[in-house]
Parts: sequence; C-alpha cells; structure tokens
Amino acid sequence: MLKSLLLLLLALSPGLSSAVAETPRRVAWFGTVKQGLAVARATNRPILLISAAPHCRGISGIW
Amino acid sequence: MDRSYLSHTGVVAASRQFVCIRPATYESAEEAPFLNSLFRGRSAELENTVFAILSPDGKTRLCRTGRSPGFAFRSPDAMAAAMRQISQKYPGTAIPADQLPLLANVRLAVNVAACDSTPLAIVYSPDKATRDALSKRLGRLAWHKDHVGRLQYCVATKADELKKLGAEGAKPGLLVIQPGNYGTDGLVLTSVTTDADAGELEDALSFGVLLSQFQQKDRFRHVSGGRQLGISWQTVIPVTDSGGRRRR
Repeated sequence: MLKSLLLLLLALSPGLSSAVAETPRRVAWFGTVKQGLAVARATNRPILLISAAPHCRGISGIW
Repeated sequence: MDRSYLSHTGVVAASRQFVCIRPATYESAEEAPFLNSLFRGRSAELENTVFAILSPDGKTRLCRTGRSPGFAFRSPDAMAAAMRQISQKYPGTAIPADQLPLLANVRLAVNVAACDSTPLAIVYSPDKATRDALSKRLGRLAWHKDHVGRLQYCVATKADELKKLGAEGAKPGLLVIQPGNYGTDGLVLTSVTTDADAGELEDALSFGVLLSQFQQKDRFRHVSGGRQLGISWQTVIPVTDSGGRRRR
C-alpha cells in the first residue's frame, strides 16, 4: 500500500529524473568477461577490471 | 573489493571512458583461468579479488595488477589521474547504446545487486527474439546519465528463475527487483510488459532506483546475522583463496 502511494506520488512528480540523478554516481560494470572484452575490442576502449566474490565466508549479500 | 577507490568521484568519472568489467570470482569455470592469468598470490591459486587495467584487446597490462587498486595506486586520486591518462592514449568510441551490461544469471544478479545495494532489472521472456529486442531498448536507457551504474541487469528465460522473487507468474517484460539483504531472494518493485514504450521503461528504472531501500551493511553483523539465518552461498567453482572459505 505504501509503495503504491509512493509510486503514485512519484508518477505525479515532475522531478523524477532529477531525483534519480541525485542518487550516488557509480561505476557501470559489465558482469561477464565475455561481454566486457567484446565491447572493449569493438570500441577500442581500455578496460578497468576487478573481480570480487559476492560473499564473505559463505555469507552472500556482501563483497 | 576496495570501495574507497571505486566509489571515488574522480575514478567514477574517469571510468566513463573505459569498459568496466566486474566478473564474480568463483562463479564461472570459463572466467577463472583468465582472472588467474592476471594475478596470482603466493598460493598461485585464484584469489578472492583481482584488479587490472588492460588494453582494449585485454592482453596488455596498463598498470600493476594485484588484489585491489591499492596494489597499483597510492590513492584514489592517483588512480583517477592514471585512468585519465590511459583514456587519452586509447580514445575509444562510445559504447553501443544497445549493449545492456549483463550479469550471468538471475541467481548471481540478485546477489550482486544485494552486495552493491542497487535494484536489479530483469529482462524476462521465454522467447529469445523478445528478450533481445527488449534488452536493446533497455540498453539505450542503461547508459543514460540518470541510470548509468545505478542498477544491475540480467535476463531470465524461464518462469522458474523468478520463483525466489515471488514472480514466477510474471508476464514477459521488465521486472525491477529490490534484492533481499542476503541476495538470496527479492521483491518486485515494479514491472512493465514487453509492449511498454520508452517512457514506461525509463520510469520503471527510475522508480526502482528511488524506491529501493538499503541498510548500511556492517561486515561483522552481516556475516554473523547470515550464519544465524543459515545463509550459505554455493559458489560454482571451489574457493581457493585462503582468506575465504576453502571449499564450496
């Protein structure tokens, strides 16, 4: 119910995209080596790569 | 993963001239040899994290590789400056607007979204042509300045993949998910069907970014809480880093 109300308010708000733009900026990651390498080769862009395990001691939800 | 470097404003800005790749360690037998070729620790086995900056063909190392950016750069500012220099040397073309940056599957994507505290956008359809068409349309929005880096993306081909999200009855289209704290389940925040126009797709992504809610994670509390709840993430290949779990 609360979410429905929020959605309605957001839909009526003229500043939706500006509100989104105020959320923190982040690196945009390709999640697989295959897709990332293909795009890098096609665009001749250098590659920033970091791999990380999406768990800590077997507990997911944290890098 | 060293967030002090990767969330640094200068590094994020410089990353827009790069192709940024973040494979999940121990989640692909195909990717593991490539990662291991970039950096090996004392054990010579694949480490929990691997960091590199590479030429566009992926073959030449453009900085010292290691476990994290801290192996190569003394500070986030130094990393940002080096990235700016490198991008001048490789002035590439724009990333094709229809390239949606995807994670490998729904299970992993929900977990990664939880790790990153971002919503997850799932392109769902059993029909490949429909998935591809929607992915291309979504790709144009994913690289827009309002959305770039703010969501994770993946595709689902079967309703079964959406079960843990309580969305197995969903119609084909775009589902925007709030991942659960441990990335093992989630909640549909909003969805649109495949006939949605560009404005409806854009609104769905924006709603996801604005409506998703995340708690600040404290590593110790998260891990101890996960143990109490019986959370146990099963990796695709065995964990070989001595700092992590020995076996899946």
